[in-house]
Amino acid sequence: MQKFSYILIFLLILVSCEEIIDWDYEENPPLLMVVDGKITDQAKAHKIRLTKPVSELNDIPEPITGAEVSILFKQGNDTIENPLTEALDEPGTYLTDSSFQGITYKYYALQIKHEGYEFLAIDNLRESVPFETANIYTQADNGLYNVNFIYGAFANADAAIWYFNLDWSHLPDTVYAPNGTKKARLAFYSLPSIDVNGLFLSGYETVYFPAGTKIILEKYSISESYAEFLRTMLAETDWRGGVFDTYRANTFTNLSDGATGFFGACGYLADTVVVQP
Amino acid sequence: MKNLVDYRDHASLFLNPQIESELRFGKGRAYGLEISLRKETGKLTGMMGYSLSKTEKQILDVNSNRVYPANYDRPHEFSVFLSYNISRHWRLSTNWTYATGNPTTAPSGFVLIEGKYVPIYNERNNSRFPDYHRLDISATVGSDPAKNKRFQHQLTMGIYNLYGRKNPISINFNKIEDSNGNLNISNDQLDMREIFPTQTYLFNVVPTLTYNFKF
Repeated sequence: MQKFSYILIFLLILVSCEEIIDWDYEENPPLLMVVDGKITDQAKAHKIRLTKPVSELNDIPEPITGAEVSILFKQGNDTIENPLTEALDEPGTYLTDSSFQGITYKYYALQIKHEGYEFLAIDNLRESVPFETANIYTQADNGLYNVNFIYGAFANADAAIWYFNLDWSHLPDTVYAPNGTKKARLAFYSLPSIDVNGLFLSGYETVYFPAGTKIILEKYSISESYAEFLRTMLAETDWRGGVFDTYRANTFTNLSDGATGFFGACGYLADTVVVQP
Repeated sequence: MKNLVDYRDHASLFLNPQIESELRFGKGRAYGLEISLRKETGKLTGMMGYSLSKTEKQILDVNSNRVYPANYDRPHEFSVFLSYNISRHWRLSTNWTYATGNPTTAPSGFVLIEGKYVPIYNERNNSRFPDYHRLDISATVGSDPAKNKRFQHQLTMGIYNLYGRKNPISINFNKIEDSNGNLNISNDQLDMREIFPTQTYLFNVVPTLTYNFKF
């Protein structure tokens, strides 16, 4: 019976078709504060981006300007407040002081005050865990290279976000990424859960790059709640469309009512690799 | 209906040692009426049925504890089946099915996080797929069923979904179209190509062949 079920699922996948459709979007999206940003244990100006929801795919979100944004943490019995300033050239983006550096295992709170409302989010800064860079790319049949994600996407106790920043703009090759340039920034995720919808997703578009490409690999070690946010976000985005889809629902958030998204505190490590022929 | 069981939003089920924590409990109700007509004599036989129904659920912690249509709620369902005996060996049949589209949760907007357009929802099952309908036809040739033979056999040739109705099973908001016209997911955060809503459907026009042997 189990074998029969597998055959049936396989046949369903074979005979299903997907096509682009017109969709009647709702005109008025809910009023929400959308928060997207993280701080790390690196001393730099960390970014928090505040925007509004959009009603249609591909719309550019309107930034939320003029908010009072602070990062709070405990030091002994005192609460230290670090106010962020809005970037002049990038409305809706709020920056910490360039010397701001998160401390491992500390809890950080993001406080936003805007138009009489106050929003709060808390995350715990996880320690950064070192990683290997051997075998992070592999040669494809066409002679070019593609990313080989070796760090384990599921059942991984070391939850993390991985960014592969690829750059071959210094090379004369006429190979381009699908985005039309000689650069790409690929995001991968290591999560502690095992999600069948993610295991059987229909697949990412492969980005090929030539020998000599510079890869800056960034790893953000994340908390359990950040991993839960990413799991629910992926269930609503990249993992959707397979036979194991979950019920649609809003993503998990660590923000108080009236806001969505996530404020993360992460351990950070990076390494650079040049693709060898 | 009492003691209905459902999963919490985005339940984590696979190899979860505390799977019971993913369950939520509640109640539901289903009501409606059903009418059917049959003609069982003569060369032309058939059956026609219609049902009007409503099925709702209310589960703690799901849909902010509000009542929502069950996934299998189809207020109108209609089907007609006709069979015509051309001779003692040949029979033609047709079947047409119609039903209100299944409930689905449609986004009320999108938020841009981590370079992805993430849908946001107001309510569970607040929308419906397009109405489901399809027409099947078949021709059957075989032994005369009136003759009480020890061995009987039949060969049925048919077409499932004759007019190629595309009945969607899911609608998604995450695909880009690559240079070959294939629909893909991009995980490149520098990719500014347009993202399209897409629908997935099963079975276009499908020819069928069935052989029955009775002994």
